[in-house]
Amino acid sequence: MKRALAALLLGALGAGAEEPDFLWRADLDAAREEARTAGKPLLVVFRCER
Amino acid sequence: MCVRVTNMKGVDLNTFVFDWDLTFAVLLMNADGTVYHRYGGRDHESADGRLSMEALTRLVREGLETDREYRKAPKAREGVQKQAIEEIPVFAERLKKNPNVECFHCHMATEARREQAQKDGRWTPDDRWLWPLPDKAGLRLDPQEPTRVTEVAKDSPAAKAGLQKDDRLVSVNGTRVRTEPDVQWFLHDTPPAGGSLEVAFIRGTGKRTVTLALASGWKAATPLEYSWRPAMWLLRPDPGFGGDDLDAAEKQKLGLRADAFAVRVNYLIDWGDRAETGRNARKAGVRKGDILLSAGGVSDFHDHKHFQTWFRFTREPGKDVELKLWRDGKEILVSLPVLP
Repeated sequence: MKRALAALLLGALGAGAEEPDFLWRADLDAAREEARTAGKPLLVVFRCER
Repeated sequence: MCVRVTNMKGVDLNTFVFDWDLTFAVLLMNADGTVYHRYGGRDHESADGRLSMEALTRLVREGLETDREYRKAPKAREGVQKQAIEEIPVFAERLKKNPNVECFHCHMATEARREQAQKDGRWTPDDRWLWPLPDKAGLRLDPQEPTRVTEVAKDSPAAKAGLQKDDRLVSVNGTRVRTEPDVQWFLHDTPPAGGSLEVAFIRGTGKRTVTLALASGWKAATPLEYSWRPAMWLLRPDPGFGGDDLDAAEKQKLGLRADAFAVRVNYLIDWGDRAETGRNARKAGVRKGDILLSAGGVSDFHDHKHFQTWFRFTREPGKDVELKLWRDGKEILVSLPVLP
């Protein structure tokens, strides 16, 4: 899922587009703070294994 | 900025709002907590039939446009108090008894909130309806291009509003929608007693707005539609027993069709506050190892979850349900009293 989404996002945005950071975070609060500071949107994937 | 969350511990349930019964969900949002768009969603037919990489790609690309628009005039989210699952009193109480639980699943959020509402006397049976699909309003959307209407059910609210195949949804109540869960969000927020939504769409080159009127009872799901939801297991009445579906080879041995309903009873509840239902089933004559073939004369259940949901949705406490069981090479009938 992680790789598929990273590849997907790269393909989706294309050259010259505002690229998000492709390093997937696991700490939601820290990422939110970082996104706030950087002025970037957040893409949050919830994946529940059960 | 991408985040992958696999544990709901510490996640603010008042900000990260989605259908917590799902095993996969995506939120595209601002760091201030404003959710631009949601992605994910499923139905009883399959876990991924409503998903496509094309739609997710489209969302990521077009969602950045929503972000740019929002940043021109951000709206402060006021009065939203953080609540993590472990802060819900009934869940916190359970954690005290069993502090070793490491992983908090998404569906536990739905269950904990429901349990708390039940305990506080705030829950009604109508509150069980969660995240209705647009199908409930008579709309089918394209899994590849989710704003495109692929079908409008005859005489449905969508048909009465004037929506047609190939219309492209733009907004609901003035908020841009780009995915099926974006539409579900507004449906989820509309009470079972009825309500109306302003739906803007593009037909040809023109933009139009119609009122989608939802009548009393619109939100109710059938047992089959609801059967995939983990939230189903908390509902009552509970038959007090359950098990797994037989595979095709096992059914063949019993002389059953491959698509016949057959569930091997592998537990009678003997734990927690439902132990009485298990004792009740045992007293009625249900045994571990029995094969359940029908209940109340119904034998066309899709699987054991469908049976469990049917029991919870349709059986009345105080009445009996006749169960047809297979045991020791023959069919037997058992009359099971339904407990509240």
